[in-house]
Amino acid sequence: MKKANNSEQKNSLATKWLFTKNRSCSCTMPGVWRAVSFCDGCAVIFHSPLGCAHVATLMDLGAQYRMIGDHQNENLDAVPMVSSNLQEKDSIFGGVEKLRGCITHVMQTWQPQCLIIATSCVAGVIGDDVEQEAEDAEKQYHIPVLCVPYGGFLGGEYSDGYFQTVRLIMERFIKPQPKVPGRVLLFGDQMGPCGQYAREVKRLLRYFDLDVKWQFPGYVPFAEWGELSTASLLIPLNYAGQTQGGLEKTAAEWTEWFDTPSIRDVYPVGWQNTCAWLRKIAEFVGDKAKGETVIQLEEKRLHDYVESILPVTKNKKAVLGIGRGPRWYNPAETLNTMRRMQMEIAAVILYDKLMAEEKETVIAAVEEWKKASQLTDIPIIADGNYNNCLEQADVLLTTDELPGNPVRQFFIPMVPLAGTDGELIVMRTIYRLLCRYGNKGGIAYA
Amino acid sequence: MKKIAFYGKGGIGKSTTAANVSAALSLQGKKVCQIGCDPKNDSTRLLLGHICKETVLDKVRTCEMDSIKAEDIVHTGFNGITCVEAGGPEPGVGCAGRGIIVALQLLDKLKAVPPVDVTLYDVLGDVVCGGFAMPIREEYAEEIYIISSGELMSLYAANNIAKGIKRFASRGSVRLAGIIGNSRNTPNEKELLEAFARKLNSRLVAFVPRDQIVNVAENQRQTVLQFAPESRQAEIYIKLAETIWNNTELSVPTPMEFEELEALATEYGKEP
Ligand SMILES: Nc1ncnc2c1ncn2[C@@H]1O[C@H](COP(=O)(O)OP(=O)(O)OP(=O)(O)O)[C@@H](O)[C@H]1O
Ligand SMILES: [Mg+2]
Repeated sequence: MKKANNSEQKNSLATKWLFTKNRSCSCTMPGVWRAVSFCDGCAVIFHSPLGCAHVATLMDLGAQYRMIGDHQNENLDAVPMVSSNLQEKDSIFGGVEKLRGCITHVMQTWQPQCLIIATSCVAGVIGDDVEQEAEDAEKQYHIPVLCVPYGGFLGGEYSDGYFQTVRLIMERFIKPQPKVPGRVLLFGDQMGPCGQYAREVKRLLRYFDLDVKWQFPGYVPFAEWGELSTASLLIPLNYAGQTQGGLEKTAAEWTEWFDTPSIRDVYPVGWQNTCAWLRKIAEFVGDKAKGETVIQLEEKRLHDYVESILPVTKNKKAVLGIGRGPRWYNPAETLNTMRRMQMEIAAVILYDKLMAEEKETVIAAVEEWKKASQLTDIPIIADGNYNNCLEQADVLLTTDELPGNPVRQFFIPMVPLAGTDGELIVMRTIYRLLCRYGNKGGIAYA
Repeated sequence: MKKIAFYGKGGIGKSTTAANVSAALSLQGKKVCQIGCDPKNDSTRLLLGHICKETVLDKVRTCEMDSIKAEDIVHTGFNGITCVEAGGPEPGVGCAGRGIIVALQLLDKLKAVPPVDVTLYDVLGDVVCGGFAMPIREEYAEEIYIISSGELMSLYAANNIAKGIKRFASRGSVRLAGIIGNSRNTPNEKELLEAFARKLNSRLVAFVPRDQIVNVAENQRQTVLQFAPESRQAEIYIKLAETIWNNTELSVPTPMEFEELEALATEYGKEP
């Protein structure tokens, strides 16, 4: 009895990410905010109760901690974000006056060149005519006022807020124009210009004399929006496992509207994908041989590093634990890494938080990898009986922390690590975890 | 204390009937409070002799919540009747339903309504959202009267209100207390209303004829009871007030499907 309890505790997940449902679990307003947070010259108004702005700032704080955790010195200053502070009274009598007051305040205090208004659930429910207010403000202050009237959670998801803002900017400020050779526009966020993804992409592009000038949407000053289409190449920052497609779709539109080629459907996450991506870049610059040279150079870095850690990693029993749905996580890359480090893949376990159809998809993906890698013996444990297997494992690579479990755990990052450096970071973290003295458990983050 | 509410299709005569019933009850020696739950704030006009200028939500709008006092929002009308108007936003903005919720809660919090024998809630016609169901849902009122004429759409609204009452009756003490007919002179109106009430598992507690005296009194900003206390119409309201005061026949309604309601109207609604 006692034992059973114990094992229950061992298997309980610290669910940090409630990414299991995919409808109506996020708010559009932080998406709007994220799309222009660091665009100098803009100001953002949440037509909302104060709490909504608080939530958005908390998200920023989290992102900043992650940056600091990554030893990055993020010196970006966010643009003003102001809530119209809707209160009970306003929900009864309508909040447009509050909004008007808020706009006046923002205009007087910061003199922004562009105003972006996002609307909350409260504004949505009581039916405030925010678009009309935006139009009026535009006339009064002679600046563009963009309005994303999705009503908080009501009209869509975080990504809808984000991409609708992007679309409004594209429609209004960006026109096709002659391209500047070698000028690249990164598209998407992935922790911003200081994030590992953007840094690595920039590093790899330099091999090809491609120069990243901007990262759109969140990090381009308003005054430069009009120049964005001078970029001769658009590179969306995405993750192959992601099927949500908003970024890809918008990137496709960018290409179509502004006649800018873009590298889509392959992303430099995981070594194989990085190679495929590098080949696409080489193709774009018309120098395939260069692509192969770069791949060789980068592969050598990987190879040299693996050589140096093999004495520790080789034949170590490693388990992969998956509790993140296929929408957010693709197991193939982690499995490839395990194999590169010559670890023994003892099992793949699926946590219970996955829904039935998610489990099916994940199992199919793992099976496919097993076949392609000719490692068909690896067991997949989907029934929760993985205690024994964890007791014997040297390390667990996991999408979810198992807080009570003594096994050493490597937390598979939510924001994918890109390129060769990404691969190196993952391997180094696992290596160091394995180097820990004794059989101490604990969790390591890349 | 009796806690009653009048519901019914917009414009059917809720406020007029409520004011006359309040006046009658008051003249019968009861302490009465009438609370208008409608942003038009015209429910107590005939009792106050003027349109109420200081509604609960007017105060909420212009003052800090904490500074509002009971005497700011509670008024005294004809024969000492306590009159309250919830008030609400201008047409087309904000959320009147939310307003009703806030207003009723504030009245509670301030214990603004003095101890009375009868509280009568007069609620906006079509129960358009949760806010207007507040008086039933939160049991501010327990005995619900539905006012209807013999017109199909009035019956339709009444039937819908019965659905709401049924839902809330299952978890609390709110009950349908009866149908009040307010005539529009449709064919076989009284019989139709009686049959309709029976179908709803209730009864027709009164059939108020259409009479110009109501309009004449209204133009003088008075109830019939004040304007023409000896009139036949006044007598009808007095009888209705007595019935309401003594009524113990409360029921959980059994609302109909629309087709059934239509058939009922067809059956009775032929030319005489
Ligand atoms: N029995 C009656 N005889 C003559 N006129 C009447 C009678 N009952 C009501 N009326 C008139 O009908 C009109 C509408 O009545 P009233 O304002 O009481 O309706 P209501 O149901 O409160 O409407 P609302 O839903 O808009 O609040 C008024 O002008 C009133 O004088
Ligand atoms: Mg009325």
